[in-house]
Amino acid sequence: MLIHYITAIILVVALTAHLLLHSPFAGLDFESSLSFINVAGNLKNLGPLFFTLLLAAVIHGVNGLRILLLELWQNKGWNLFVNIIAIVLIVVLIAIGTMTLIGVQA
Amino acid sequence: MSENKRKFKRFRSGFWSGSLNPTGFNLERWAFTLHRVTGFILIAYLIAHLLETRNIAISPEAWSAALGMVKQLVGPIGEKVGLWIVAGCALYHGANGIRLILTEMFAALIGRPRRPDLDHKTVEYIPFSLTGGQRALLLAAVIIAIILWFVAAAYLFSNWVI
Repeated sequence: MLIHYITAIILVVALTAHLLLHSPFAGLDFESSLSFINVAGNLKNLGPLFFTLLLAAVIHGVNGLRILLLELWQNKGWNLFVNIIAIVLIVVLIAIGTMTLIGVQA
Repeated sequence: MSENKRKFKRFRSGFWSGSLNPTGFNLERWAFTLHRVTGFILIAYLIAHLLETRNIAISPEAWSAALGMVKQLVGPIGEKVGLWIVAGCALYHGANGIRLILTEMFAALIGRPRRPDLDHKTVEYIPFSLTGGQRALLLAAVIIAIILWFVAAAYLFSNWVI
């Protein structure tokens, strides 16, 4: 749960920053904030922020899903299955996000 | 019905009825259920969002096609309504999450256990953690989430710019 709480705290800060980029405070209306130039520019200039957001969101979200699934049934086989699926999902989602961030930098 | 049967009438076994049916319980139980439901919606949205934003690294045409596909699936209004719902989920989940971190990690505003026989005011023992500052924190979290949800609606459904 400590990892869950720490990623939650990081997520509150990083997600607030991410949402502010698509808010009235960014100086663009909603449709304009989704333009390729604006989104690619944000990903390029704020790469470390988005990478932190990616890590925190994926770990917090998948861990939460893992907690839900572990409550469904309680036995060794199910626990092992859920833990393996969670680790695979975390790795895959972080890989997808990282590829996006690297692709935008290029 | 005997006192014991009435007291335990609300016990529900199993994952679904135990965690998704808060009827007959206190506000904290409702907050817990809503926290789980919003969390599930958010993880589903996160996976879709990561797959959609993958297109930004391919080309501007791929990004436009991805946005166009979403608009075609649910319509332009449906897209904004869906995003508004996700925004509400994120705002509630975050606000309630902050309350949970404060109460569970830092033991803020939950007081200390009291002996019920020394509490002359009530017959039934009501834990202090379910009253007082913690309850006020829960209500504050919900109110802040609702206010920001209306701000999100104003931004999504109008051309509001600061």
